Amino acid sequence: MNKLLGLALGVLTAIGGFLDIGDLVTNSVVGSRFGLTLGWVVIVGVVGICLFAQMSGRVAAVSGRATFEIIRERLGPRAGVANLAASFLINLMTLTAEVGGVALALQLASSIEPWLWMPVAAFAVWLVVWRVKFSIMENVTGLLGLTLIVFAVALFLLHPDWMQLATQAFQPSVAPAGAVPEAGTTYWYYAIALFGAAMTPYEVFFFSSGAVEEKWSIKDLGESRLNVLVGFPLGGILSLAIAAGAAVVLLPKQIAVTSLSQVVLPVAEAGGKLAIAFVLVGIVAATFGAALETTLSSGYTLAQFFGWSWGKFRKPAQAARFHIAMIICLLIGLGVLATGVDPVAVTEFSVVFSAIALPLTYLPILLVANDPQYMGKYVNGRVTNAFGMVYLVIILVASLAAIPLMIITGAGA
Amino acid sequence: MTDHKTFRDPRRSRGTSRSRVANVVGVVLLCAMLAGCVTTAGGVLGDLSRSARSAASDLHSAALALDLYSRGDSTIGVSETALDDAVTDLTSQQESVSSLSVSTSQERNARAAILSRLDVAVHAVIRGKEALTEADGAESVHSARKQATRDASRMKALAIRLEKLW
Repeated sequence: MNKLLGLALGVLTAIGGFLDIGDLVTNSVVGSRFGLTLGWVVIVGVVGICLFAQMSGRVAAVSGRATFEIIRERLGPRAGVANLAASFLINLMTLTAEVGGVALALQLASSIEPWLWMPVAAFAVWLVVWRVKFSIMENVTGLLGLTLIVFAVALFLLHPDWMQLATQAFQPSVAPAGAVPEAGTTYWYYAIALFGAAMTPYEVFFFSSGAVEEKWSIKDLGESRLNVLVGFPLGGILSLAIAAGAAVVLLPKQIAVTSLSQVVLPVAEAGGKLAIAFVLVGIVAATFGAALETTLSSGYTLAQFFGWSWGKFRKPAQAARFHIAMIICLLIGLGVLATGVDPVAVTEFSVVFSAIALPLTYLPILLVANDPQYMGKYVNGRVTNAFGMVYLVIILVASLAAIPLMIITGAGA
Repeated sequence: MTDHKTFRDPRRSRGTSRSRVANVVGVVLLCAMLAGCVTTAGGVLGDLSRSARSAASDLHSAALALDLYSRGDSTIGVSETALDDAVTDLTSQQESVSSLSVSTSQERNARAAILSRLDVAVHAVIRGKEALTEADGAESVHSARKQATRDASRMKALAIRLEKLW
């Protein structure tokens, strides 16, 4: 019975923890401008993150070490530093966006200016990282994040034309009926942004480091696979529900999403104040949970690269540099937000830069997962490798196309 | 397996790492700047029509927020924030339209028309925000919503006219 409850908890927290500010904003932006015509990208992204998350979880469970630690050892410091630079900078950008996202969500609940919430959010993140047990932190934010299911409920309450949504999803075109005609380049720019949002690198580093924090072993492989293969796709369905809600309510009015307040309007239209209460709890939990994960990931990547003592399973005094690195990253994020930059703009840039950095993050994971020296008989099978190779090509294409598309479209303007 | 301490290299590798990180940061900043500065399809008239489209979107968004509030389907926090966000976006459109350098009389007239409409739009949304907290709330909110919807239609019509001029 306890085992079953543990499995259910793992899956539920994986669903609740799947969405972050990047998913919330990007899916809503895309839904309001392109309807569900980019729904296929969410599916491609979710399959990709499942593939690499279960791979890095397996590496951690089999070797007892986090992926980043092995990457540096396996590929050497030169390749390791490229991996570190790309992952760390994207992670820092995502951390900034998440802290800003918490502040924006709290503004929606209180009408208090977000810049007053930003230091509060950053302090709360530090306090939780410092004091709260890893499992409690993960479970509480993940379970509260489940309230985002209200996006799916809202979609049903809106009584959409399901045939029209299905047509958009299965016969993708640049401009669905009723939308402002968009350039083809803008469509592809947002396809890459959506892909980057689904495959954000911190998710993989957090997953693998979390496996070490929770002392996974080979016998936990089944549970880890279940969490990923059931939890993440269900989280992906929530992403599609956000896009579909925006497509039903905002697209016909030609409202192109540029702020978090617009993301919740379809939910309010469908379910009123009660639905707003659920969605606000969910957004705060999702962004706060992601802020915790990105803060920890900053510490993980640096500590694992430089060989410092790390982990929440150690007392802070025994992992002092790990904790100081996280505090510095939080302060940098706060400093960036203090310049007055729009957190939603940071989010939009972070998901595109995530796509740019993907090859540097995911190629090393694929290499390590194929190394029998670390993995023994648990190296990737043929099917996993075939998927891995296909995804490497997709990742490479997305990475190479991202910068030209960003420039040509004026960042999707 | 090799001990990872073996890789701890002297200053040379640290220096290389720093310069590599600096290069990556440089590329990131350059791309962000380029993405923000490049004039996209349609030249100045294209930029003006996109600003008008964006302003129409803000006005529709404000009208929807006011509508939801007047029906009792939204909270004061969400409605106020949605209207604040619309004002911020409209003000930023005003700044970007003002800073566009125009070279023909057609472009000058188009810019003047948009700036005038944007001014009206900002006032309409601010009026909507004030209506949320007024004593005769329902009536004021209703009239602010109608005003925002009217302004949105006019702004959209202007955007369509400009798109035909590209």
